[in-house]
Amino acid sequence: MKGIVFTELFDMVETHFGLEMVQNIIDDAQLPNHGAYTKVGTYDHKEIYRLVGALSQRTDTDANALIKAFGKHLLQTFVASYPALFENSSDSFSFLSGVHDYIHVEVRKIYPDADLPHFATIDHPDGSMDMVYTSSKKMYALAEGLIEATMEHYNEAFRLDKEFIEEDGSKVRFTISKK
Amino acid sequence: MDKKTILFVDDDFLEHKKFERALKKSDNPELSIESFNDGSEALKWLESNKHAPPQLIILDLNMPLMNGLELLELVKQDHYLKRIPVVILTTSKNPKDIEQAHLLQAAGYIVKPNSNVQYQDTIQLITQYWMTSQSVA
Amino acid sequence: MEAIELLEKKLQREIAARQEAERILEEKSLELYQNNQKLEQLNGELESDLIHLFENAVFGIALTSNGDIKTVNSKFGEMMGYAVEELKALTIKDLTYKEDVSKSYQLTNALIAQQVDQFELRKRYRRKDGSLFWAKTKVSPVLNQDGSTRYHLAIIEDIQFLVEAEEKQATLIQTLQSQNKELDAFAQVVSHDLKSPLRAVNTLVGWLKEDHAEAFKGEALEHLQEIESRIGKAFSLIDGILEYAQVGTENTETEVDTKALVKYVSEMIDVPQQFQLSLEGDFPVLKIARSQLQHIFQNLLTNGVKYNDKDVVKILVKSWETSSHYLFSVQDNGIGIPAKYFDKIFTMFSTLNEQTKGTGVGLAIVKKICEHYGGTIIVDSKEGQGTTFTFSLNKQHTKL
Repeated sequence: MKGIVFTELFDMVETHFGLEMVQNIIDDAQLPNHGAYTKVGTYDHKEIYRLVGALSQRTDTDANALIKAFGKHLLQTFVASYPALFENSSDSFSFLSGVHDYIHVEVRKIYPDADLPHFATIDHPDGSMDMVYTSSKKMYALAEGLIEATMEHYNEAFRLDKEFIEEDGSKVRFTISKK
Repeated sequence: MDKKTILFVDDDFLEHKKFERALKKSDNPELSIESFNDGSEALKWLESNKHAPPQLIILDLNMPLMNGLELLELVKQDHYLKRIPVVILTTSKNPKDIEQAHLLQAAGYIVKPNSNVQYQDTIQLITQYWMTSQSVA
Repeated sequence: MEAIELLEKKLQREIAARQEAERILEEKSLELYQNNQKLEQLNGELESDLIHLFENAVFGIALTSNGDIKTVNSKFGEMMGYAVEELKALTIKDLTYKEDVSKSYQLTNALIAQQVDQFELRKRYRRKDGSLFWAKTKVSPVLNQDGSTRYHLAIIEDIQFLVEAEEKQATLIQTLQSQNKELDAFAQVVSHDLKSPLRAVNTLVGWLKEDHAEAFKGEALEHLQEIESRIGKAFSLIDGILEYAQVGTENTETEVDTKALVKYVSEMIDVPQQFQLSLEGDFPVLKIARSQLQHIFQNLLTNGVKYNDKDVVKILVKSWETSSHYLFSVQDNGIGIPAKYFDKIFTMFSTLNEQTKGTGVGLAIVKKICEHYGGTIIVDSKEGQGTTFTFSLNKQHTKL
């Protein structure tokens, strides 16, 4: 997993819960590098589970809710860092349908070892769109946060339904309907 | 009725004589013949005799000065002369000559028979046919 | 935990992360450098391959920009009689024969305006020594990544030999055509000029017989008749030669029903009272000059009738085909031909019969017609029993 995910997680935790919470979850998670993550590095994705798990326990909050919130945070940092990616699309659906075929392709050019989830989008005649998340990392909640934040970024009112195709969360269908 | 005339054009004087002999033996011995050695002489005569044109022109092809096809073309271009039937009588069997003669509206194309007897028969046939045929007044 | 301690720990994390980042960067830099080295090596190999191709090409190659010569291969230098360096100072216009400049210019403009993707033209180049040569030039653009034109790539092939050969061929055809015409005219004139005196002699002999019947009797009359008969033969000969010369000059080929044609010919020729004609096989419809095929059948049927001593003259005409040819045979029950004459009868001026019924041209014409249509003719015969002529016509020449 790319280092940016860790550094952004720490940023979010520090903003919402303070620096002490950051130190606490680093200690709880017993990380091999003691939390010294750099954006350009690549780390074992299990470390993020341990960090989120620790945060969940300490704050008594559902882990998936935390991941989803993190997804929203992550999207905002993307908007700030890579505004061009968003300006190229006129609305949320055109952005989302380009994630897999365009954005992930570009990401791989810069980080050939990036392990990205698979997204398939299907347009429905009624104007809604399905986005199917597939990843062995089962971080569908992160995807959910990213999608919601995307809709909000484009200022579009929407409804998001999710359906587990695989019960363990390795394959989840999101259905997005604009209101 | 006026005396009927045949214009005979051939560069060989023996052919003139032969034609005269054949005509004398034919059923129309009283026909008068105007004979010329080449096309230009014949044309001169035709132009000065428009008031009394011949009933028939018999024309050889290979002649000096003006050949048969050239004369035929001039005759057919003339408002008065074009009504006179022109029969080609030649030794040429050349398909191009035959085609050209018909294109220039020759009334007939006859290859001179080699045998004297057949020649006699042919002249008999030509004169009989054209003297029987009614010409344009 | 004290705030100061937390900050200190954060600082330590950031320092460690920074060191880690530096290590990664260094690793990546090394990787980049090595990749670059590899690329450079590949590039070098590719370039030397290209230069090898460029320099050893059998065609002249020139890279131009707006008509200016940027570079050329040595082959082009060799073709033009210039050193490569000299050429680099010149323009395409300098090397093009002035009459061909405008068409070259037009096409180049069309290429620049992207109206065409590439073009090919035949034009004359002017060598350093002023001599000209024809070349086929193919020009296409070499594009930059943004789609703009970097160079025009011209591939030049010397086709002087080809053009000369084409010109030679055209002249040859023209000469042949005019020679054919002359020959035809010659044959016509010869036949006319040969026939005229013959006609005159014939006429005069006729008149002698007619006008002086009393004077010519007995042997004298026989002599006159002999003169007439020889003149008759001379006439046939002249006609035959003329006809022989004309085989193949007629080009009005039409659909000919061969069965109908054989029947027509059999009605046209003089046949004895007791005459039997039978037809066997599938007679094709051919694309052929009707008069020529008619000539063949007329000749063969007439021969069958003429050289026949039987009370009942029988002629059998057969037709069949192979994969490449249509075949016909004409079989008679006549006097036959001795085997030693089988080849001779197809040559000019050979008649076998002492009574000289033919001119000796007829079968030569028949053979010439068959050969004109990609076929041949052969004869088989038994003296006293009859003769069979078999001829073929190539399907490629006669198929509908």
